[in-house]
Amino acid sequence: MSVPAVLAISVFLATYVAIGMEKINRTIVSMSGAILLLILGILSLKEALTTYVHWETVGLLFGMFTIIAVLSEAGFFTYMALVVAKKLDYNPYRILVVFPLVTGFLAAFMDSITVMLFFATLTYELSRLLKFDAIPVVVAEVCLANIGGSSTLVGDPPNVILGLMLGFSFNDFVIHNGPTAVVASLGAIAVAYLQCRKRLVLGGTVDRQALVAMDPARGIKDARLFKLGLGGFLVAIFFLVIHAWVEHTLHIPLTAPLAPLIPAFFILILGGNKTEDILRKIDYDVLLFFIGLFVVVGGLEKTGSIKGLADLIANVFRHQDLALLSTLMWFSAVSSAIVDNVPFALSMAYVIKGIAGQVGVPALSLMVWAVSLGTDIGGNGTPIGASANVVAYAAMEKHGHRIGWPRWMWLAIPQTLVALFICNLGLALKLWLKFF
Amino acid sequence: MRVLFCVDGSEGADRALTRGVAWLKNASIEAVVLHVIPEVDDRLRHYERLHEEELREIERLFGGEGHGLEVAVRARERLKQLGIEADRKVRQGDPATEILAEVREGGYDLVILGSDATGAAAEPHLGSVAEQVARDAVTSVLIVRARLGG
Repeated sequence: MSVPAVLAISVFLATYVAIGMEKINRTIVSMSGAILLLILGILSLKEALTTYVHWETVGLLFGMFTIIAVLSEAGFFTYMALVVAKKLDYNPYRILVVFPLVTGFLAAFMDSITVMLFFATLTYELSRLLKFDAIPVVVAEVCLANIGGSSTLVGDPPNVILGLMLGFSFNDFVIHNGPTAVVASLGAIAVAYLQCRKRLVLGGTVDRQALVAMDPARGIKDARLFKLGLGGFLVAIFFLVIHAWVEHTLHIPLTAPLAPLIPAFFILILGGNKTEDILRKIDYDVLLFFIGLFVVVGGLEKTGSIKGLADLIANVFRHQDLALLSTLMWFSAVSSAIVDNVPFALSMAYVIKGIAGQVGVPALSLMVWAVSLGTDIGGNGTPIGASANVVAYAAMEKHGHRIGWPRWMWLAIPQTLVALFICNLGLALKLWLKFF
Repeated sequence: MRVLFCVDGSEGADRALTRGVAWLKNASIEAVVLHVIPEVDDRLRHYERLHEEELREIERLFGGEGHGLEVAVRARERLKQLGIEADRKVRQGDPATEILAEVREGGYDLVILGSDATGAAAEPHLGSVAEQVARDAVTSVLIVRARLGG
């Protein structure tokens, strides 16, 4: 192995471990790793920024973050939760089943961290008045948010990376991961219901009147911004659905990143005095984190380190398609439960691209679905498996509901295992039907 | 007897509260419930900063009494049901450090807290907070354990 390869692997591993330890801000870690590679001369700055930083991913995330910032500023999440709770007649058992399905649906199109920040808080507030145990509901919400996130290109950052780097569209994800994610969600919520149905309602006087008197419209902070945000969001989804067709048939370069960026910029222009508030809400830290990681993993790619791993995997699993797909999915799931799934997905994008170039291996698309499902859903297993988990766990702790690792795992692991088994069956079925 | 009940919203803390009162049935108790709100995780703090105004709006809408105070209020109500009037206190920071500081400052005769961690019977271990408070407190400490305290 060459000296640059050893250096690139060392920087990558150090970055990965430091992100996993969470002692230092992960953005600082990824940027430090990137700068170290530049100082060591593994990559030039020009090469890092033009070849390895995937600006399409950064652009798509920026566009989606802007639209979500508008929706949250307008009070969309509060409105949504109040409308749903009212429709459910404030029944805790219905809330246990339907709220996670709602978070799963929202997280399919939005950043799951923001969805969970609001839904954990709103679930806590509802539980306080309706006297039910908020913890199983919040854990199920997180599980379904992560499962729902696997169903589209924009649902979870690993999908954005895998899809845009390897050339899969929004519709590809919806058609191939969507049905699997829906069945997995139903399986997970059934487990959640069986786990908690007997211990959900706590004793005490239920303050239902305060809720019944509460008009969901009170959740809307700014009606104009609400319409602007919702309109922009629907346009972004519409563009994402038609972008591949527009590009190929009409030859208009409506790429996936432009789908949210176009409505996002219109919103910023029309936002008036709210524009500055919206810009302040965008999560620039995550964008910098991604940029740093692209450079760190780019160092591995340039020095040929990833190719060696891809060759090894291809040799071990040659002509054993289902074994390779299952291994990729379960390995991704376990890894994501332990460490941050973004650097993992980024590395795996290069690895499966390398495997796909060989003979006797499954199609690249099947490997993308396997890694995407494993990476997105596996994170459910522990409170630190995904950023949405960390935020929901800490939000509950802040409200005096300490979940603890044992209870999180007791609740989340059965839901995750059922979802992953369903996904594994889905992959086997796709392989058998040659539908990929 | 001045008694500090440490609560955190967990089942273990509730059990400690009930057991503690049962064991101190005939004593004259001057009770205080303390809830220490742990330091918020950096990532949550980051996202809360991004959406600070909206989260405050939710709290206003639902008429919440503020983070953490809720737990102390609930514990005080529970004590009232058990026939004991108590003051409530909320501190923020590392739970063990803050409990120890409250014990030092408040002149308590007894500290009561729960421990969910059970460990193997041959090698019992307490939760880290209970362990540190038991070791460093300048007063007597009663720890109600999940298995042994039942």
